Amino acid sequence: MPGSVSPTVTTAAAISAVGLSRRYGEGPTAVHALREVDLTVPANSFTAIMGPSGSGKSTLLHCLSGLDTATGGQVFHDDIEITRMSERELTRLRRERVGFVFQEFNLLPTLTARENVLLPLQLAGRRPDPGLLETVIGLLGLAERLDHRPAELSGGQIQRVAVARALVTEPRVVFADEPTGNLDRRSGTELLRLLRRCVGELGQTVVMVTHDPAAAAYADRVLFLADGRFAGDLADPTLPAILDRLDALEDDLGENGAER
Amino acid sequence: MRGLVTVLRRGLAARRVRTATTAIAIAAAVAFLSGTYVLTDTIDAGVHRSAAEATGGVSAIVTEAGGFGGSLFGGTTTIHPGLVAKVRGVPGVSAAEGVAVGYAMPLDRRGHAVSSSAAIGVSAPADPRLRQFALRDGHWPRGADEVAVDATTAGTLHLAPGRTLRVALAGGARTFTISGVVGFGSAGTIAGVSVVAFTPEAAPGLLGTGGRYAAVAAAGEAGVPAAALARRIKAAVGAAYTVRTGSQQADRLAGDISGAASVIGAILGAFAVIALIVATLLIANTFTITVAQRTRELALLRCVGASRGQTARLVILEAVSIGLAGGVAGLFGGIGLAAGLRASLGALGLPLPAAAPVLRTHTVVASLIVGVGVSVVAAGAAALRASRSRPLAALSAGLTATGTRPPGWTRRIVATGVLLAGALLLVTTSARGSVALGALALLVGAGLAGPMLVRPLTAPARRLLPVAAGVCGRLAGRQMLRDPRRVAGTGGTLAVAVATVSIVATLAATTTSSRALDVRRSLRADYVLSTTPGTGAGLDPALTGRIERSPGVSAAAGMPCGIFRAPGDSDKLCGIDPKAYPRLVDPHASAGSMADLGPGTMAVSAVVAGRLGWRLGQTIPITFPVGGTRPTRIVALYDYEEVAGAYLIPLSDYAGHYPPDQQADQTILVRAADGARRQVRAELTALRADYPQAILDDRAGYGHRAAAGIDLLATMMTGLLALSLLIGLITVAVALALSVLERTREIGLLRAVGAEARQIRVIIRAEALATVVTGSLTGVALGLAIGWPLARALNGRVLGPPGVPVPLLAVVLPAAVVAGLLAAAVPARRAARLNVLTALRAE
Repeated sequence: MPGSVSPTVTTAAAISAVGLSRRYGEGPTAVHALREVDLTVPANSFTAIMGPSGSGKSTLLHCLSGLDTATGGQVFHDDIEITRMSERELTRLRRERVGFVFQEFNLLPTLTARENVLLPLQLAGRRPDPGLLETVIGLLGLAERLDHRPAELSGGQIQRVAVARALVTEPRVVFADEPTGNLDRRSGTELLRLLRRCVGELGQTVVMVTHDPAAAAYADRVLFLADGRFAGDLADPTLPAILDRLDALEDDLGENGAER
Repeated sequence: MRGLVTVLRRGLAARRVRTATTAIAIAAAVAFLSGTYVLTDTIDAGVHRSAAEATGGVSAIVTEAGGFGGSLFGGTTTIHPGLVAKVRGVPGVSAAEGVAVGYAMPLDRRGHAVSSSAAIGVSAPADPRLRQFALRDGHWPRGADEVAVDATTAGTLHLAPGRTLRVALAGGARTFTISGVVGFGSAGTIAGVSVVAFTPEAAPGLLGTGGRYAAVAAAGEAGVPAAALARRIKAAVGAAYTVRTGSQQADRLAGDISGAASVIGAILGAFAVIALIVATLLIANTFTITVAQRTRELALLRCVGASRGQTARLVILEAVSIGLAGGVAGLFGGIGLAAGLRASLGALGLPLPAAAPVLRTHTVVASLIVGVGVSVVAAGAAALRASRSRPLAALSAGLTATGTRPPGWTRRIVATGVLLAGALLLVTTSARGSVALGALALLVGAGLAGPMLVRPLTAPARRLLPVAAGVCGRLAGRQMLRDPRRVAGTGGTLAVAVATVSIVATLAATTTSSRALDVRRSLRADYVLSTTPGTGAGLDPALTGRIERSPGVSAAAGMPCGIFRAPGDSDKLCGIDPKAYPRLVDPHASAGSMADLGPGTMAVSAVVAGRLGWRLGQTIPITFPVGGTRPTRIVALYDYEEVAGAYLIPLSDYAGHYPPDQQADQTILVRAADGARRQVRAELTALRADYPQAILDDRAGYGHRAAAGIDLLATMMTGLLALSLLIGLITVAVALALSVLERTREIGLLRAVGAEARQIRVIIRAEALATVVTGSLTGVALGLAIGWPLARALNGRVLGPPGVPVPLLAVVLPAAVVAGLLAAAVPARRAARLNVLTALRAE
C-alpha cells in the first residue's frame, strides 16, 4: 500500500529551511534542539519527519510552521521568509497559509464539529467556499457528525474534524504533529489514508511529525533528525526501510553517547 | 502526613498565579468586613472618649424620668428651679446648677445653617466642674451678648474670640460676640452637633425655656464617691427623676450618638451585612472554581494510593493556609479601607470623629472566621463533590469536560417551591414579618435555582454577543453555558450586591412617590414654613401670629410637635388649631369626624391605628411631659399623615401638656387670599430673614421636601452601589483570571488557528460584560420584586403606583459595563499575551 499512490512531485519548494537552529537557554546549560538544519519540502507532497525521542522533530515542525521562533537560520514559505515576521504577520500566516492538526486537544469543547471546522474562517472574517467545504466534509466522512460536540465524537472523528478544520482555509501547508498518537490502529490508518488523499486529490502539502514508522510509511518522503541535526531522507519509504534507518540512527547515537 | 505537606507546599508554589488570585479574593472580601468593623469601633471609641472627657468633672446629672426626648446635655425642659435648690441641699453636694438647653443654630455669612445636625444652645454653668466642655481659647461668656462656640463650628466658619456670630433661635435670629471656643475633651464636637454656650443668666430667655431646666448638674465635696452621691440625690428628688453619675452620663451620651439608631450606625450596619454576605459568596465561588480545576490532580493522587481522607485533608490544609494568608492580609487591608470609608462618608456630609484606628478582638475573630472558615467550608464542599467521582473517571474527564451534571430533581423542586412561596408571601401579605420572610425565601430560592436560571437569564446577552462581536461573542456566549454553577456563583454574587442596593432604592422611590402623593392630596395651604427635623429647630408662636395678621393671608396655623407615650407606643404628636386647620390641611377622616377634635380627644392616622390595634371611640391613656397621663378618646381616623403627622390633638390641650420650649411651631401652614399669593410669598420671604431655620415652600415644593426626608437613604445608596459594583468587579475578575488559567490550552489552539491577540481579549471582555450586565439586571429585578412589598410593609400602605428608582436604573447599566471592562482588563491582557506554543503545551 505505501507508495502505491504515485504523487506528482513538482520541483517547487513549498517550504525550505536554511541553517535552521533553535537553542533554548544561554551559556553552558543551553539546549540545542536544532543545529543548522537545511531542508526543502516540495509542494503537493506528503512529508514525514522522524527521529528518536529528543531529536528535535517537534521543534522542527514548530519552527517551520511559525509557532516557534528560530534562533538562527531562515525558514521560507514559498519565497516568503517567516523567520523575521512580527506576531501580527504570523497570525496572518496562520490564518491564510498554514493549517494545524495536533496530537490532542484539537477542538474547542464548546463548539459543534461544524463550528470548529468553520472557526478559522470566522476568526479571519472570511466566507467558506461551499464547494470546498462540501468536498472536504465528504472526503472526511463527517456529514453525519457535524452537529455533535467534541465530547460526543470518537477520537478518530475528532482528528478528522481537525483535518477538515485545517483544510477549509485552503492553506499552502498542513502541519500535523503526531496526529495518530492518540488513536487506535484502525482509526490511525484511516486518518493517514485521508491525509494521503488530501495530497493526491486536493493537491495539498502535508508535513507530519511522527514516531510511528508505520505512519511515516504513508508519506512520499521521510526526513530523519538525530540530536537536532538533519540525518538524511528516504524517498518512497517502506516500513522495513524506515526501520533499518531508525535502527542505524539509534546505534549511532549510542556510540556517540559512549564516546562522550 | 509529611508526604501530604510536601504535595501541599509544592502545589501552592507551582500554581503561584492561582494561589495568589485566590488569596487576593479572600483578602479583598475580608478587607471589606474588617474595614467596616474597624470604622465602627473607631467611631465608637472616639465618641466614648470625648463623652467621658466631657463629663469628667460632673458627679451627678439629674434629668426628668419620663423619657420624652432631650439632647446631649439633658432631658425634657420641665425641671423647676425649685429642684435645683433641693439638689443643692443634699449632704455632700458642693455645687448644683440647672442646665438650660434649647435650639441655637450658628449661621454662616450668607445666613445659612452651619449643619443639618442638631444645633444645641446650652447654658455654661458658673461652676467650672459642672461644665461638660472645656475652654480652648478666649474666655467664658460674661454677658447676654456673648457666646462660646464649639471648636468644629469655629473651624468651619473661621471664627475666633472677638468676632461676631449670628445665631438662629426659636424666637428669631440674633447676633452675638464670640468670647471663646470650647471643646469636648480632645474632640471639637460630638457627633456633628453644633454647640453654642450662653451665660446661665441669659440662656433661659434666649432659648425660650420659660425658666425651666433640662438637667441639674451636681458636683460632690472632696472624698464623696460619685455613686454614693447619686444615690443620695436620687433619694431626695424621687422617682420622677433619673440620676446618673458622670460616667453613666458619658455612656448614655455615647450610646445615643453611636447606637444602632443613628444614621451612621445604620449605614455601617448595612455595609457590614453586605460585606459579610458578599465576602462569603466571593470566597466560596473562588474555591469552587479552583477545586474543580484540580479534580484531575486529586484523582491522580487517589490513583497512586491516597485515601479519600488524605485528599480531603490536602484540600482543607490548602484552604487553611490560603485562607489564613488572605485573612491576615485582608484584616490589615481593612484598616486602610476604614480610613477611605471615613473620608468618603465625610465627603457625603457625615462628619465622623477623628481617632486612631481601633482593632478589636471581634474584628480579628470575624475576619479569620470568614477568611479561613468560609475557605475551608467552600473548599471542603467542592472537594467532596470532586471525590464522589471514581478516580479513573475523574482522570479522563479532566479539563476538557463540557458542562457539569444538571441539577438534580430534588434541587429543582425545592428551589421552585421556595421561589413560589417567597413570591406568594410578597404578593399577598403586608405584615412586616411575612414580607421579610418572603424576601428571604425569594433570595434563597434564587440562590438554589441559580445554576438552572443561568441559561434563560443569559439568553439575551448570549444572543446579543455574536451580533456585537461576531465569532468572538459566540465563543464567549458558549463559555457561559459551559459551567452554569460557576456563572451562577459569579453573577449571583454581583446580583445579591446589586439587589441590596436596589431594594433600598426601590423602597426610597416608592416611599417618596407615596409621600408626595399624600401631600398633594391633603395640603390646602399655599405655603409652608417648615424646620429641618432632627436639628431641634422651632419657630416662635409669635411668628404665626404675625403671619396671620399680615395683609393677603386668609388663614395661617402653626403646629408644635412633641413626644408622648402610650401603652405599646412612643411617638411624636402635633397640636393643631381646630378652627384654622380645615382650610389648610385635610387629613381626610375615613372614620369619625375631624370636627369632633376637642379637649381630651385625639385624631390618629388610620394606618398607625391599625398597627396599634386602636379603634375609633376608644379611650387611650396618653402620657404627656407635663400633667402626666390623661385618658384621650379617639374621635377620628384619617388617611393622610405627611403634613399633619400621625397623631393630632387640639392646640389648647397641647399648650397645657408640653413645656415652654416645645411650644415652638415646627410647621406653619399659610393660605393666601385670592390674588394675594405673590404678596404673601414676598412677606414670608422677608420674615425668613429673622428666622433662617424656616424653610419656605409652595405646595409642590413641600411635596418634594416631605419626600426628601429619605435623602440619607439616597446618600447611603450611592455608597452601597459603589461598594457592590466594586465587589462585583473583584468577583468577576477573580473568576475570569481563574478561567483564563484553566483555558490556557484553548487559547493556544485559538491562536494556532488564526485568532489575533485582540480577538482573545474581545472573547474575555465579552464574557465579563455579559456576566456583569446579566448579574446587575437580575439584581435590579430582585430589588424591585422585594422593594415594593417591603415599602408597603414598612409604611403600612403605599399611595399611588410603586416607585421605580430611575436614577439607579440609569446608573446601574453604564456602571456595570465599566465594571465589566475593568474586571476583564487583567485576565484579558494575560490571555492575549500568552505565548502560542507555551499555551498549547499547557496542562
